[in-house]
Amino acid sequence: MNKTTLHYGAAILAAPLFVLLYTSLFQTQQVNLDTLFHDKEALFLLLIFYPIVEELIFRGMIQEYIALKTKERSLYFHSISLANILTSLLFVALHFIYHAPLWALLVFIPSLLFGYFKEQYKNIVPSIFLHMFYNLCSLFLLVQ
Amino acid sequence: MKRNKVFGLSLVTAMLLGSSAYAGKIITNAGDPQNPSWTKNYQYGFGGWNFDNVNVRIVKTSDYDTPTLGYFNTSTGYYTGMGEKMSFVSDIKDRSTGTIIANLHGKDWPVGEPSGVKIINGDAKVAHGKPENCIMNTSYLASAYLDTVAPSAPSPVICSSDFQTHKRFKIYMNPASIDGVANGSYGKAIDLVFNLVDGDGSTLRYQVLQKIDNYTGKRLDGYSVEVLDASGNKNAELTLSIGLGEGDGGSDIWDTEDLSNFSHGLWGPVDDHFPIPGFFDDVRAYYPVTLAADKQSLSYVGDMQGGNYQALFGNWLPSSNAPMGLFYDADDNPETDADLIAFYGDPFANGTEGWYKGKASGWATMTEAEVNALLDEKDSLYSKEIVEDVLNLGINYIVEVGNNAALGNQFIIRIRPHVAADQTSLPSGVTPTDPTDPGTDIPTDSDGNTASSGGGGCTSNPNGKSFDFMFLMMMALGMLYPFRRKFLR
Repeated sequence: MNKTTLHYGAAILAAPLFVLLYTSLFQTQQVNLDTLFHDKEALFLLLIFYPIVEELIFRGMIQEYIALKTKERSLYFHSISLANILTSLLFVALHFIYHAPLWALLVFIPSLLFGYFKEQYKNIVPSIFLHMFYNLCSLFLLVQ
Repeated sequence: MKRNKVFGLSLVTAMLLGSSAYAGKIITNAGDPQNPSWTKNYQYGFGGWNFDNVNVRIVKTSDYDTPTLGYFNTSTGYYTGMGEKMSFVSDIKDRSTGTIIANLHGKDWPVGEPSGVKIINGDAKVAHGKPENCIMNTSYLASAYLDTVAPSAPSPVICSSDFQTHKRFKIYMNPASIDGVANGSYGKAIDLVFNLVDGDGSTLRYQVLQKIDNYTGKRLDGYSVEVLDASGNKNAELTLSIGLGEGDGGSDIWDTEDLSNFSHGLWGPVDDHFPIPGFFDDVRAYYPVTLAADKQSLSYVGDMQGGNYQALFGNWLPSSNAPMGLFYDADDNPETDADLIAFYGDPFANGTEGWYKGKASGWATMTEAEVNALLDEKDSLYSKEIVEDVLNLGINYIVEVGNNAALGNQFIIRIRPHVAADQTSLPSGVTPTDPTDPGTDIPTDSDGNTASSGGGGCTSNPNGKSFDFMFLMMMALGMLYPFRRKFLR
């Protein structure tokens, strides 16, 4: 098992811990399980649509574009590329539109993770699955 | 005007001639409900409700008490042109004294039209063993209200119309309905009289879709419904039913808690129609009415059952005691119900009055300043008004009309409120609960969006009720991914 795979496993295990951090910091919505499954559209958007689209845009296009333009793929801060950091800042910025400021800022951490695995695997699919898993965890930890 | 008169008389003649084809039924001009015979400025479903003890007033929505110059012709069903902010009220008089004891109302124009009660015969699309005939509100479907422009015609609500299409007319029982009545007694008779066609003796079933509202000024603890013939007597040809064994496969049409209950949005569990639990409780609040042995009356007197209505408010509240509520009109549409966000009261009965969110929100509090801040927002979608649904009891029953000739070609549905014996004791209060509701416990910003969020960290709008520009933008950008290499050079 190589280092990246180990890191990926750790990122998966960290997902519930990360969501717990959110729930401890914010007055988050408690989701009624019955309610949740009545709202299939929201469920689809949350677990499928947004993880795919956001990863295609941010990790798939923006991060690649920044990496290409800065030609700084070699510039890393503890394995995190400059392109990843700039992309994550943009990712956070978009979350300010619909979320509380501190809440949006904390999106920075998983965004860096998604970007890290996109670069390591040179493929968008692992970051999409990781994004989906983080959203899934957030759902189940909030279900009453 | 002359043209209208001629047309009206023709309509009535056609209605009466046509109605003989519906022997044994209540008179109506509705025709086939699947292909409604609608005529502009003539009430659809007219002819069955007898107006001898009713006065229909055309009013402005800003003042329901003062009639306008408009009028409703109780002989033909014709009413003068109406517009925005216009409505109607049908005053129901005590048949012995002429005193107005109740006001009947449906929906304001263009959702509803006078007189408030219509008759539908032969709606083949009803399900679950319910009757194909009904006595219901004079409202129209949202897809085609009365302001619909020709060549399309407005689309009347019928017995089988979807959920929440304003099928129930409301009877506001006023102080005169219990004037001089001792506590612990039934009030005066509120009579709805219906005209029948000379009949063939077959029994026809009518579902009555209505609410009764406590504007009596006193607390109530029950009600009764009786059916009487044209002479005001019980008659073996006229009975009531609460749907026992009349549903599909011999099941009951309604459960006990469905026969007589308060708004599901305030007291009710999550189900297909209600994605979040009731504001006050996730259990229905109801009166378990029973049918008399002779099947000619149904009634209940006693404490409210099921949800926490009795603990929160005591016996059935009159309008004078209705709590104030903070409402949020998510779609900014006055024709749809706004969401109750908080109410002013003392849910724990410990003397601490204030603004409280509902049970699902753990009875969280709001300060007066917070409430006022929401109300004072620019173009605020918040409003402060009484929680009227704590006054409105929805009731379900069926009238079985037998040999019309034996009934005198009319019958009466008589409703009486029951005045609670105890008008003074305080509610016992509820026990604090943990928050469970996703919809009401979240602070909102000026756009009504949630200030924090649960359920994922996406860029989507957590307030799913409003238009999400981000959704479109993300979708458009996402579709560019396959072509990224063309511009990543």
